[in-house]
Amino acid sequence: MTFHFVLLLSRQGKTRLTKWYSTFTPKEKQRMIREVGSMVLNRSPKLCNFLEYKDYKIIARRYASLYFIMCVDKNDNELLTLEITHHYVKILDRYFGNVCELDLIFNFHKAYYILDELMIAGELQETSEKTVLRLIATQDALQENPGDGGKPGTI
Amino acid sequence: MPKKINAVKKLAYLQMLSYDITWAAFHMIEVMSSPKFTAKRVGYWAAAQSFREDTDVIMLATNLIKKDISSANVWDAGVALTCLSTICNADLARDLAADVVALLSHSKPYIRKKACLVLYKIFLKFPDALRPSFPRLKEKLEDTDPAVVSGAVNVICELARKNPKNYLSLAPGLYGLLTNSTNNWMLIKIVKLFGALLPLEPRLAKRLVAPLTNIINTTHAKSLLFECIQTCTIGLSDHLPTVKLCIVKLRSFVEDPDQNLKYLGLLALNNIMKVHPKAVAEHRDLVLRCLEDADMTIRLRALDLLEGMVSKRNLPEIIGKLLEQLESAEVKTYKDAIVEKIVLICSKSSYQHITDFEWYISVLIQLSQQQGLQHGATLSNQMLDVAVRVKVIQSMQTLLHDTAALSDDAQIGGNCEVLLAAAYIVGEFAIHVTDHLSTAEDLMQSSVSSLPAHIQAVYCQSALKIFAHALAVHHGIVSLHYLSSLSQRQNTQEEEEGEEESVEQEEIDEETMDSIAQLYLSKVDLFTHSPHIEVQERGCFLKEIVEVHVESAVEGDVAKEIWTMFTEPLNPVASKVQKKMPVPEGLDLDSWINEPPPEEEIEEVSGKGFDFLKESEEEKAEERKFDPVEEQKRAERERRRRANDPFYLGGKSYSPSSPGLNVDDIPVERLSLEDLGGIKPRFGKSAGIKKPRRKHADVVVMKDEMPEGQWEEERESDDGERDALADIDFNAPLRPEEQLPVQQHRTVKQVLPEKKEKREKKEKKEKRSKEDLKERRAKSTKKEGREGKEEKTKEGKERRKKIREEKREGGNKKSEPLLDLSPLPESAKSATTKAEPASKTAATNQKYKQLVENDAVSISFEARLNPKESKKVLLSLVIKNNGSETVSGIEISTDIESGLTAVNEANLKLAGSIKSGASHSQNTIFHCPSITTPPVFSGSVTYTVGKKTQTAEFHQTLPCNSFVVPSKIPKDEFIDMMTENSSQLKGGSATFHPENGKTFVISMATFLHIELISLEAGASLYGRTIQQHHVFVYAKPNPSNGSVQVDIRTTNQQLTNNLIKELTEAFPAA
Repeated sequence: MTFHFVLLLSRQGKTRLTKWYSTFTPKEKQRMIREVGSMVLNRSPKLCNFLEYKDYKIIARRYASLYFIMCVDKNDNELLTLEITHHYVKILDRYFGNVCELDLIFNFHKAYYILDELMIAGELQETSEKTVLRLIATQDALQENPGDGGKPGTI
Repeated sequence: MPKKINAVKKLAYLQMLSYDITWAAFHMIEVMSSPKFTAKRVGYWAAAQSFREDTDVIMLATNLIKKDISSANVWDAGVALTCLSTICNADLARDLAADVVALLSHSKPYIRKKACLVLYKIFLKFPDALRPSFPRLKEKLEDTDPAVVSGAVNVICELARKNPKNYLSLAPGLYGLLTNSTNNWMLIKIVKLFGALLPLEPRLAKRLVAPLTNIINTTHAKSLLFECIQTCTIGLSDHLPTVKLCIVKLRSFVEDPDQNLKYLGLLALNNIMKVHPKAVAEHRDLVLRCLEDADMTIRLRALDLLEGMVSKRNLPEIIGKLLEQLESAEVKTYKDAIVEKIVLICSKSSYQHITDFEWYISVLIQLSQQQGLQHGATLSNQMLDVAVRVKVIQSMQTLLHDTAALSDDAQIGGNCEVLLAAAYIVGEFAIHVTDHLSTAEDLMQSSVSSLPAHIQAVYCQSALKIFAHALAVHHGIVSLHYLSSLSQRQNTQEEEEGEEESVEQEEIDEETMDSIAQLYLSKVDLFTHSPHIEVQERGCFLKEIVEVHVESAVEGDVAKEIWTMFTEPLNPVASKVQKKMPVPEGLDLDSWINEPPPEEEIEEVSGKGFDFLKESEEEKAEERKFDPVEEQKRAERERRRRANDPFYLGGKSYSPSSPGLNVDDIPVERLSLEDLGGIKPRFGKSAGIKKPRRKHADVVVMKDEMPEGQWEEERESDDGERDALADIDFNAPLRPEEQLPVQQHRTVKQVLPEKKEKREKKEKKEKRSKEDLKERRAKSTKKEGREGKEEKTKEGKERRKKIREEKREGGNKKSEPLLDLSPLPESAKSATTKAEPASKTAATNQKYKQLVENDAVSISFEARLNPKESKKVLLSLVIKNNGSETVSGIEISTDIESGLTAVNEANLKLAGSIKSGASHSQNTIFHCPSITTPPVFSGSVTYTVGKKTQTAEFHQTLPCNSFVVPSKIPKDEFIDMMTENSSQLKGGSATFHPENGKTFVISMATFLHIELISLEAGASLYGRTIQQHHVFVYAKPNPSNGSVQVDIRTTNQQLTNNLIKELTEAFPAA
């Protein structure tokens, strides 16, 4: 299993997105979010992006006010994980047009939809930015409520 | 519906904030089952977020997912697949494996790539699916769409980590991809995959050197470069130029200002070091520099590297650096890591790198003085180990150091474990002690009583040893300090202060002896009054011995006796020695020496008072024919018995009277030191030949003791836990019964006489496949390749053919309901319900009932409950086309006066058509306000055959018993509830005359969905309706005429009456 979970935290430690690819109990999940969160948030930006946590490796990177946290196996490629994170951020940016934290708060489900097109079962499924954007756009168009389709506004 | 969608979306948000929303699972399924994509997208996404493997409603969704992933609408299929990848559990994996495999040949690459990756999840949960479906997955490596290929590579890469052997045959194809592809994302996975394959096939290495070096030299992607280096270190470690190239690249990583690269560089160097320690050791300067890095993660990795870089020469320097680090470090975890590392580095391969052990002990003491670290036990073990193993170190000076540490450290809480070592060493090597009085004072100081019990016990024992030694010296049995006499003989220049003192004081005079004895007698209360039993016992022992000495005053005999208690030398014993001791010939450890008295157990229970008598008799009898082995057994028996005996204080209490328990003696006594080459006995004449202790090169480190002929390390054969996926072997040919399970539909319909025979056959077949399935499930964790199914081959082939055909249609075919959901035949039911607890799933009350049956269509339905939804019921409708023409436009409408109204009217219309012979299942949720009277599901169904529209009426009641959910509660709670609700309980009763009372009660429990609570005189049973009516049932047999009277009490009179009515109808003649 490549990814165990993906976690987005705000600088204040608020959860913005959680995606679990491996099975954990709700208690474990809460504990992990808490522990990983405190590890990541207390890190100085000058330090490296990799952290060891239990049997996993945490790859965390800050983009503006958001921390993108990925949890992978010990023997997984850390740089690849970083690149996937970057890939995800780029797609979010293209989709929302200069993405900011508010976009992800008001359209949190969109962030999930994009992630679901990018990754499945903890593996990268689509390497092309354009394809992902096209897929999401098509699906948005299929939705009944166009107001729910793109820009921030409704929830 | 839009409101519900929005609500579910909001719930998913709450779920993200760690709120529990499992109660809403049913609503999510509702949203998922909507035909609109808007709803499906949200529903599946919310389900993926909140469902867990054990969410009980997942099984309700099985059909829905099955239908959606095979849907003609790619987007529906897409969201369903995505959801499946997250919520997949073993049941889903088993039931949907065949459908997902079928999707591998979907026309859209979008679905193909998703199916590929979802398959991996399915293999994880249902490993049996791997072998039959792997060839299909393999084909995907040659897919036209790069994303699909990449997906297949991903899956195979993950699979290969578990058992690479199976995937060697793919190497040529992968090699092609490696050399031709330009997609770095995929290349990384391929390179990783080769990393798993390389160790298995040395020939691969030759082929791969060129492409890998090529990538390393040319690529700009650091991630790919890093992956190549990783693979090279695993697989090409024999190819020196490549390794050198890797190290050069890694050095540039470590020197890079980017912290990430630095970290990875160190990590990879660590891997190389395992194979080529020398090549890496050259870069020691680099690593030492990293120790000063600001980032702790990096420092930790550098620490790892240091471990392999130490040599005799640079050890003090490196340790010195580490100690500096320790001083300056702020974070506790890092400090801990340093301490651990120091101990690890120094003790590596029995202190191979250490030349000066006094230095090492001083390092250890320095470490023990660190505040707030929890390494007391580790350090204490190290000190003991060094003291016992290394002869030279057993010197006065170190021990004095220890005693000093002893008094200093007494207050430090965390490191008090070290005191155990110090006290023990002082006692065990009492022969090196010169100033007995002050040592004794240290051992008996009053602060000792604040230490943990096990340390106090050691203090006490050491005090005794010191005393014994002092006594022995006093009577001239041993000379005071044999090392000092040694050093005198050798005329060593540099003599320690302590030793000089000791030279002056050659003997212990009467006065000192007296003061020691007095000190002991005055302070021993410290131990004898201890609340810890072990300490107390040792204290008393000490007190007695000292008193014996004082009373018998001058006689040397006592002194000698006391001293001989402690003269046995202490040797390091390997931890596995006990296991490897050869069993003496003629000794059978498994046979009883005396048959155990058979009634022992019973007597123990019946009369505790007589135990003493019996025991002493037993003991007497055994004493007469004493035998050590028997003694051990007896002690073991005794111990086991005492474990449950409240009159004995449990645990480790030390009993000096039973020699069988003194385990420490066994291996040490039987082995003579002379058997072990290179190790000199510590006492006696040979001590004289010992080299002066400053000559470090000659330090003798004792190896662990092992029984003769057992020196070679045996490979321990415990593999640990094996992964089910790792056990699968592709080389064995597919066995006939090995195929993806295909769910078959089970309809309960009226059997027409002429068709009866056919049907029976079919049923048999289905039963068989069901059995197969069970069998396979049971076997899933065992190793493959077992024979013994040969006789079934023919049938198997036929079945496989059939399944293959079905699979081929799979894409367009309408889904069929699950085997597992369908009810068991009535006959089998009563027998099996006990075996599998009925409360396992939410939807236990299942039974397909015929709704409509005519020439054109047959509709059957089954009611399923969600215990959390009190006013709703899910009806699973199965519509089958009986005729020869396609049926379309099916629409079900319910009567207004019927008790059930659909939650979503749209679900009652069926958009598509059903081909002849095919069937379709539809889950619809109905409001069901009242369940105390059996709700009636009535209405009509209209459908079009050819061009004719027909209507069929239906009318079915949902019996009350189907709304009862078994709930297992403890007896006390049952009684409490009875009394609490007694005022509201409405009762009714009926009498039955069954053939067998017991079976009747069991089948009644099954019928009413209630749980057996207790069996006293009669059977008490309990269940609860989904609307929280209590259902208490009491069945009382009447032995005179064999009848059983059943009392039903519920909180609703109507419910009681209806349940009794249903019960009497179900068991009419009884």
